[in-house]
Amino acid sequence: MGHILIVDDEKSISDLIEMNLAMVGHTCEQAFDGKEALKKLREGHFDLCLLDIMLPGKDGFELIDDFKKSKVPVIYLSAKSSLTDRVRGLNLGAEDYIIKPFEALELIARIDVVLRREGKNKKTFTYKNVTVDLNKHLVLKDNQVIDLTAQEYLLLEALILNQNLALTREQLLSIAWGYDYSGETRTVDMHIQRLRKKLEWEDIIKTVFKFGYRLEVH
Amino acid sequence: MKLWIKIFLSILILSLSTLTISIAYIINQNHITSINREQERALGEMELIRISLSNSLDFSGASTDTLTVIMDRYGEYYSNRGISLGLYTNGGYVYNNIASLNPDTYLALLSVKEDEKIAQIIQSESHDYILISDLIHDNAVLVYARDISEIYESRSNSISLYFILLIFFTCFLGVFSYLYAKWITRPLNALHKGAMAISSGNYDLYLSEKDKEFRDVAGAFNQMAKDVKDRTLELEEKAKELQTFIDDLSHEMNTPLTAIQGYSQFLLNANALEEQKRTAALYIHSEARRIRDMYSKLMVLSFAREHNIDRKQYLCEELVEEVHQTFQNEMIKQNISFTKEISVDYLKVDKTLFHMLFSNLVKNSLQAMEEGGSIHIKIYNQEDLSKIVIKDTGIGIPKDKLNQVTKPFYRIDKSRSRQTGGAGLGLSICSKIVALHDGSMEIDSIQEEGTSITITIPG
Repeated sequence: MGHILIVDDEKSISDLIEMNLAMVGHTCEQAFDGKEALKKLREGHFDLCLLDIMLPGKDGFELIDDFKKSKVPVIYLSAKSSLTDRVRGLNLGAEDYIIKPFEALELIARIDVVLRREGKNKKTFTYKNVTVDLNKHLVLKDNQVIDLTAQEYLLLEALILNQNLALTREQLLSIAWGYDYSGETRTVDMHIQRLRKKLEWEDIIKTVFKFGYRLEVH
Repeated sequence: MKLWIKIFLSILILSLSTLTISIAYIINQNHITSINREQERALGEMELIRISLSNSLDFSGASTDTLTVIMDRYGEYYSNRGISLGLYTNGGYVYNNIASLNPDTYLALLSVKEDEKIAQIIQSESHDYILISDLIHDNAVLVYARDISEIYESRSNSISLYFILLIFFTCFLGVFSYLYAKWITRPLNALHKGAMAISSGNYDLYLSEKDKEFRDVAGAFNQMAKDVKDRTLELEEKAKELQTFIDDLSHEMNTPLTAIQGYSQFLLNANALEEQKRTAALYIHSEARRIRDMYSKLMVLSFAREHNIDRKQYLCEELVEEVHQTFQNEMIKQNISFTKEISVDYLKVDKTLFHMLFSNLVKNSLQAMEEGGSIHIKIYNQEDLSKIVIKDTGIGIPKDKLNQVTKPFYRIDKSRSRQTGGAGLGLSICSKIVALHDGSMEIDSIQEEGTSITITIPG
């Protein structure tokens, strides 16, 4: 999983990101102004930086050069929502530009895209005797390949990438079947049941009452 | 119809019709005079002929032939002068050389009575005649006819001459009145152009005030253009200010709302530890309070705006003491000394607003001091102005930010004001309240030494 530097002068927002990323297995460090960010950049090694634009001292647009020199990919996370700012951010070399307020799940997914592109994402996930190879899309149980349908695999992948966070049935449905699928959410329940049985993961694929499903790993 | 066309047409029509009427009157008058003169002349000649006839003829004795012979002589003589004669007796003409007229047309002339003459003007196809009849004997009527075509010809010549002249007049007057109409409506054109320019947003035009007649109008117009410009700029300024305020406000709301939304989402769907859940709940609570604080500050701002200021004399000592009471606990906790130096008995202020002003300033001072320090309030009169000085020994304000601190939502140190819960509206409220008192607020500050705020209000 990634080691991520969060640069945001709002402690509440910074903590919120940190808590969410920690849930899915990333490790984080926080910096609250430009100076501190540069200090952390020199001292540590990061796979990714979430960078706010309006910062005391040096702002996010000024900071990105240092991150590029250190080869740390940057995702801007800013309340500045104008097209000019977004284009400027991306032109400066940011991997992505996310506008506040953001959804935690979207943030996680976008971070995952960047990490995967950089080859720094999680490669396997193992629980009990089951190993999921996220690069090869393979599921092994006692080193035997388990046959999963495409939908079952997509559901499993979504649960692993968002581990410890609950996904609603609607979200799962659109992840595994696409946004235009008009099936019922009960389809999700049936596939989850099958997944639990095939992997014998009844204890960690939890149903969250009135919400959806969650892969619980602690 | 445009004004210049109206002026143009009225000048043209008025002058042409006046001219036509007077010329027609003159021609007619001339004609009448000529006719009368002709008539007088004809009567004179007629009388001459009659007398001459009466002398050379005895009507009662003369035979018709004799009459004819004599008349023939007369007729021949007079026809050289353009005069024709006729003699009517006993139901027939013994002589008549009025050849170009049909005798029926002057039948009425034969009914002439003794001692009178009848004159008639008869127009034939080509000629005009004046005819006069006279009873020269019992039943002998002498008819005299004279060709007066000349008079009629001269009249119609005058008329045609006039029509030719009229064409010249029309052209001349047309050009003249066109130029005149244009010239006289020139200020209107200038005004029109000016108004169009203003409506298209160009307020910088200036109408010349050189023209004497036009000076007042141009002056008023220029004044109006200037006022419109000023007013528009003022409105634009206000709109910009409001837009900035709204932008800032929405930005200020964004952070706490993002946090509240994010943490509540986290509570709903994360497999979180008890401690993390507690952290999330605490953040939701504090961020909601932040919005709440901002809301009440905004309410104060709008209260200050809507409030009908009610200035009365209040005991200065009391006003200061009330604020002191409010913050006493904090002052003790932060180990801050409070001193006052009041040389004025009464202050003429709005009590509610002034309490807000004092509270905000003292609160700012308290937030600028961590532990220890002092707040000093000095109130004195300078001529007819009241001066209030609040001085602290806090961290101060950087010089380059002094003129920005009264802007809404402006905070010098974001992370610091977050701890103290400031929304960046305090000094903005203060300057509004001071402005409502027609006063001014001056901020002096030295970093790390302290800030001194001087408020001046009319007494």
